[in-house]
Amino acid sequence: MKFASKNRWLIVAVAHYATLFIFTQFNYYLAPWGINIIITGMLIAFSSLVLNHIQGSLSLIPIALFLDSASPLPFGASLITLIGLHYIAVIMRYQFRRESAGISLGVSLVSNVAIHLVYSFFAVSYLGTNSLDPVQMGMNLLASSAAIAILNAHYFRVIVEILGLFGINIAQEQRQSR
Amino acid sequence: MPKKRLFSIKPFAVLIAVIVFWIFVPIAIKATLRSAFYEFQAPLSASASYIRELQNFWAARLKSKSELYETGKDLAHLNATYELKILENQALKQEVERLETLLGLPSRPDYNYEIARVVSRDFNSWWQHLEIRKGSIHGIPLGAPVVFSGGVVGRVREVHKYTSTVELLSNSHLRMAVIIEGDNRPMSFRGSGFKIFRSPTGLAEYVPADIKLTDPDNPPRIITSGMGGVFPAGIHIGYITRLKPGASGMFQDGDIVLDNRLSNLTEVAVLVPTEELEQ
Repeated sequence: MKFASKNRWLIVAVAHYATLFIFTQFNYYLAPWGINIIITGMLIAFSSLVLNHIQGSLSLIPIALFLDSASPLPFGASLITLIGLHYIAVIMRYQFRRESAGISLGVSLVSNVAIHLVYSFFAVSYLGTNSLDPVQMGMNLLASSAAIAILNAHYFRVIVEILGLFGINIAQEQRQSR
Repeated sequence: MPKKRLFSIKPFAVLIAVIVFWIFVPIAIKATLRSAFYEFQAPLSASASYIRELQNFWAARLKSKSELYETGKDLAHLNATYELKILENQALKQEVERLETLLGLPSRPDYNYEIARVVSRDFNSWWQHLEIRKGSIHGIPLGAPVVFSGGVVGRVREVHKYTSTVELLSNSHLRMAVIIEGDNRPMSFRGSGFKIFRSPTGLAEYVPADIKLTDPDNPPRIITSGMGGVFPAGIHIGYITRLKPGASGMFQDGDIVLDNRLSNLTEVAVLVPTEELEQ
């Protein structure tokens, strides 16, 4: 159990990967309507608000590299984006009560919007502006935000319960020892 | 009462360390890492496509015998038509070869069709890619053209061991020389993205000024020109729906509507040049 506690980032990374995999399958079926759901902001919010900053970044690095491996953007674009947003959330978390469901939802949504903006910036820089359609981007962002609004609380609860199965009781731990 | 912490310098230091470390990682290591991460998760995404096939198989098993009989009958009709077409094609091919020898023309490139199932569709706001279940082990070359029954799908962008990434026709990075059916003057085509709830679209540049949209029910059809040597000539791309003056003033730009089926493809064919196979 001590091993699991020290390497909780690994459990969280596997859970993040499973979530991304499920959404890849959703997006396969949504593709004919031109809709694509991105929920990476929710993963950043969990790693930033529930884990300590090192464990959080360790849980996000494999996810970012997985995203980068399938993307036409320079390798490392998602890594820098996710880790950057994670640390911004970590720095900001001292300002508010991070256990609150409203705060976690807010961080998830803001992170997701930031990911859309950063990806758009990278796409403009490396892929050109030719195929960027603001209406489609707006609709995708709206669909992604709706998905996060529905799932965020459940996602946080499920991962905390999964960590509980490994003897990691997040609620009982002190903030500093996380 | 403990003092409330408002700011911590440690996370900042770690963030800067990660960025600096990543900047100085050699490109070779980054490339290896990218390939390793892709190949590591590839079997899982391929397994999802196998599961989808299994679902389809069990869904088909639920069909009644009379439905299967009707489908079999339709297929028999189709097969008979295709057999006739094959004979017709063979006769035409021989005629083309005879004329090429007679006129001393270079022979057309020959292709083998490698049929591949679609594993995933990545059609987001920034790019449109398909992942197919055939890779370097199946002889898929980088940059190979990909087609389906409705025309061009796109081009192979990345080849991995068991899978490949195809950039869709609507991707803005995909450019090729095209012509209007029945007109030999070449134009430039590039993808212009995916419109929500609508078909994927493209843009034709350098459309000659004399081309007009006279009959909206019968718009000009865009096909591959065969120039550049990647795509064979005469494959369907789409229809011009709107013409506007180009930046130079001498030519026009045309909006092209691509085939709707591009967004829900489940199977595609990769054209592998026979020379490539011989090597």
